[in-house]
Amino acid sequence: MALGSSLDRRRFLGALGRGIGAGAALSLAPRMARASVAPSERVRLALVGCGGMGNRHLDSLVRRTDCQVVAVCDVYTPRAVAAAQRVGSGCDWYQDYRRVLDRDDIDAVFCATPDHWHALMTIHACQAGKDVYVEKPLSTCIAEGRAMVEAARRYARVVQVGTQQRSLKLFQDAVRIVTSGKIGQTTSAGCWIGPNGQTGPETPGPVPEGLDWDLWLGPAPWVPYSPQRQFSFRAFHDYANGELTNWGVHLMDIVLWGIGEQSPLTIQAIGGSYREVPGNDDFENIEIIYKFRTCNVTWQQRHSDSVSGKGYGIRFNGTGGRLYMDRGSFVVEPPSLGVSEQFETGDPWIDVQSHHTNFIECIRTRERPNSDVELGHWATSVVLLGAIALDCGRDLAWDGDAERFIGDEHANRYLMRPYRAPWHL
Amino acid sequence: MRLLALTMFVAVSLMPNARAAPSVAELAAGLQGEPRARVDAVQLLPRYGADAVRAVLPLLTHDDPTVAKAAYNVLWAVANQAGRSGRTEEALEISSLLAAHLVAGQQDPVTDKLLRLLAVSVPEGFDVEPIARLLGDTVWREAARTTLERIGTPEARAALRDAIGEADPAFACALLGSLAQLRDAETCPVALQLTRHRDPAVRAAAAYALAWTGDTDYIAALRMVRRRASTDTKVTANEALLRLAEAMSERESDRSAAAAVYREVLGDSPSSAARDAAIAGLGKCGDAADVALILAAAEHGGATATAVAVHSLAAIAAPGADEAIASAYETAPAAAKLPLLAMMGKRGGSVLLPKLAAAAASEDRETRLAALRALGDCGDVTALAVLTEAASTGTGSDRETAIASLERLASSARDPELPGQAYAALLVTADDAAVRRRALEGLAAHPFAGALEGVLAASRDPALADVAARALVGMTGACVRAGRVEEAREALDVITRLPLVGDSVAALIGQLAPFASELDVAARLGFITEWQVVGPFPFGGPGTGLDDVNIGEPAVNLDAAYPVGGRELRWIAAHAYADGLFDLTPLYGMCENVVCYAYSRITVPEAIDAVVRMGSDDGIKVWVNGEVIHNHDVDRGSGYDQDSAVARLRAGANDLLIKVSQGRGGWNFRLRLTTPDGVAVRAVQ
Repeated sequence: MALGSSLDRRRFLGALGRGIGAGAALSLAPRMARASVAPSERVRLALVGCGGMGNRHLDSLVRRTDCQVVAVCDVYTPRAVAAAQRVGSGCDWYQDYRRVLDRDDIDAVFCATPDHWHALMTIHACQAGKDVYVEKPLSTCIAEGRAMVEAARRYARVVQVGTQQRSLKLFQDAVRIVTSGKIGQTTSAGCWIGPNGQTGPETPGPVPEGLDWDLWLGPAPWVPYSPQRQFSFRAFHDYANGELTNWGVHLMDIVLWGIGEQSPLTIQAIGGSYREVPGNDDFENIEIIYKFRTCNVTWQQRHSDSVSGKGYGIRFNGTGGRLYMDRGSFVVEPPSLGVSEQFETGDPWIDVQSHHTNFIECIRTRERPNSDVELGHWATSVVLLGAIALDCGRDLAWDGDAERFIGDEHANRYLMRPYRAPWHL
Repeated sequence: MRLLALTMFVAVSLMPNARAAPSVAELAAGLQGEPRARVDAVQLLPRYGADAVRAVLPLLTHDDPTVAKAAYNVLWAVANQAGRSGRTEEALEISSLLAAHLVAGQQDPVTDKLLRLLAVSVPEGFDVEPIARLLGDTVWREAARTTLERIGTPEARAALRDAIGEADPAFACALLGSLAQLRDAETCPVALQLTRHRDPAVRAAAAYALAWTGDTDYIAALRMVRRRASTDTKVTANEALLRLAEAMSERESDRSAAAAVYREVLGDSPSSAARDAAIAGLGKCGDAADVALILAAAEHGGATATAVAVHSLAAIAAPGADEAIASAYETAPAAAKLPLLAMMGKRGGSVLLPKLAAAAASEDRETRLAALRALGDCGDVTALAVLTEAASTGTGSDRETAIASLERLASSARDPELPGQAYAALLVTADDAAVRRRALEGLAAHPFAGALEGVLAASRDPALADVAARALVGMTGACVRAGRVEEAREALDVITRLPLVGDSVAALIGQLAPFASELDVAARLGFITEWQVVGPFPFGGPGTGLDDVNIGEPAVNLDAAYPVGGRELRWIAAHAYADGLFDLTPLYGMCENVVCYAYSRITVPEAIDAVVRMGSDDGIKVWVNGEVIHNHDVDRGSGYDQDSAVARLRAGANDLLIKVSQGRGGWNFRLRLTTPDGVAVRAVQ
């Protein structure tokens, strides 16, 4: 079913709703010669979730010669169709990801859906024998993350988490400086970003044509459709926890890498919305303090906050100096340490290519990727622990080995989100 | 009726009461007022616990969504704070208030919110009947089930179990899913029965509810569920059996039973994913005989299956596994041989490494290169000779591969001595400057005395001199520790001709501490060690400046006496320690807010522009030949080369005077001379 044909839109969307693939969509994407890798050796990929991040992946993937995007999928069919159109011939589109997983000719799946689908889709893909690139946060609760790690190991799958900073030289160099002891013993680290944005009150309405709202909700509680939920899902705790589980995973991942730890001992958190900010489930301003074995770690969401001009970032404070960074550069102080500011050379906002390369290499070698699912689980768990401490409104003690709170069965309720049937973990 | 009841709650809560202002009623009113008041109310109302619930509950249905949302946020905070240890009574009261307003039979946003709140408020001991009742309600059964799952108390589990009998197949699956998630042992007898249910979905869900136990008694039932699975339940049934085996494999006593399950899945599953899982499982709990089985399975599964198999073999820990792998290698299909070599390198050990060494001499180029690569991953010293030989005498790809492997060997070594030896081999075999630089960096981190000659040679290469100096620092220490003092002295001679400042100086002194005196380290690094000192004189404290004149400075009269506080202070001669530190506390005790002076006459053969590098605790002021060259009033601990200042030294004698302040705590200084680029200047003292 080619786009651009005279087929009227209603019939077209109706067909999409039945999940019929369009294999002959016109190509709008720039294509590079793929002659350097034999077609039989190209990794065959599917993209599930064709929104903002999905399209960034597509931008990179369609330019590669070592893989081929053969299927795209989105519960909102206009997005699936548009994505298939960008890829061009040989790419089918679907509305239900299970039909993608049914295909035996797909090696790996990119999961760029809203967060509440990451776990189930990853686990189902592993069960179907697919390798997975799953966007961060890995999960919406800690039990999901552990189940994802177990599924990856159980089915011997490669699962790369979309914490692509692990594959960027700037971050590798920065972490090397920290772990080498250049700034001395790191006794404090942290990350910061601005306050949570505001969506305003929900305005429930009719489900847009082409959207399978029930499938969009998936394992999350049933609620009426609202455009705020579809397009600003991070503001709703049924699916996410604001910037804490968005940028927080990226930034905390680097903190954990730098300090060489995986889970905190205790968590203290306060949040507040000190002006009229209706609509969101999130606090606008958040401060979280984690105590790790070797250092203190903080998460801060404040108005008008920056460190030496960096409006978001990561810091490591050592006994002999400090390193702070964002995606643009890192700075080591004092200057007597002899490390000049190092800048990212590419475009760090969209540079997922090196992370893709690592993923595709690991599909071939079966080695653990740079952001292996376990690493993603650790980083995601740390921010989720902060979110739980915010909900509980009290200090929490954490047993990282057992992945349980110590002496707080009430807080342990937050380790799992019950799924709406028929979905189950 | 319901709203009327809620309104009555409000009326009660708004009555005057004995609480201090702001009252619950005022805050609840504020919740509906101006934005500022609403913010205050959201902050303060949770303090009032159950009273706040009574006051705020009616506002869940407020016309203004902002007010309704704020009310929910207050209730959320109250429900959570009641979960705190020791507040069960409050949690019971709050949960009763919330549960009283649940309404069955119709879509209702309030019931949805109440269930969400109850999911976090209900404590153990609470009668969940009002929620359990909704399990039979077509509108609310799903929300009630998930609420009870999250509550997870014995009462909630019992309610979920009790509902299974009356549930239709789809809801029975959901209930079993909840109980599986809760790992509810009391569900197992029911679940076992349901593995024989007529509906394949129920059978699969029941199998799931048993899988977490890892109980070998359930193998037969789950095996049967798997065999009778429909197309739609195949994956779930497979998963249940795999999970059961996985849980079994956690217990030593059940590992062989788990391995038997994996063999069965491997043998009869048409699903490549299930077979991969079985192969991975056998890696965790299989025995030596499974090596051949795993390889045979991989033979028919393509490149991915081979890679999965090889990874599985890397993990297999059973006795005799190495021998089985070595034997399997000989007969393995060509496609598996190269990955097997890589895996053998990662396993290492006395059985497999000789095989790798032999393969490294193979006639077949691909085999040879794979073996050389694998040796780089083994972390074993036996690889060193093979790789060094290939890196020295090999050609083309063999040599390149061996050099790359030497580098990996250095970084993956299990033996603490091996990294230094591997970096030493890398240094002498590699031509590439970048590789040699990394070898020197490696030697700096893992000093190996035997590499001294190679590092000394590298130090003569201007492109490598800086990193060679750092390596020599470590190597000198290694020579000292190995009792090779003369070689250490030789290395030190080289080092002290190289630029060396700051951390490198600290590192060198740290390495040589036990032999610092014997090797004359301080003098070699340009430290001034012989001083005349006088003090302590009163001082205003850090930040007050170092400009008070106490001895008529910059003039120095070593015979003078200075009356201070009823006694006379005189110059005395003293030495710095062997590491260059001059500690003033042994001379003057623990003082606060004082200064002292130190003077030294030094001689250099010809005029030079020198850099005076110093560290001090606390502040320091320096005169050279009567001219102030540095003045730093600071409160700090001392380090190496913290400050520096340029001084013109004339040929012959030069006068050096310093003034060191003391706020509190430690009191000391270090001072040395270097050329502008950091090479130590040895002055006669």
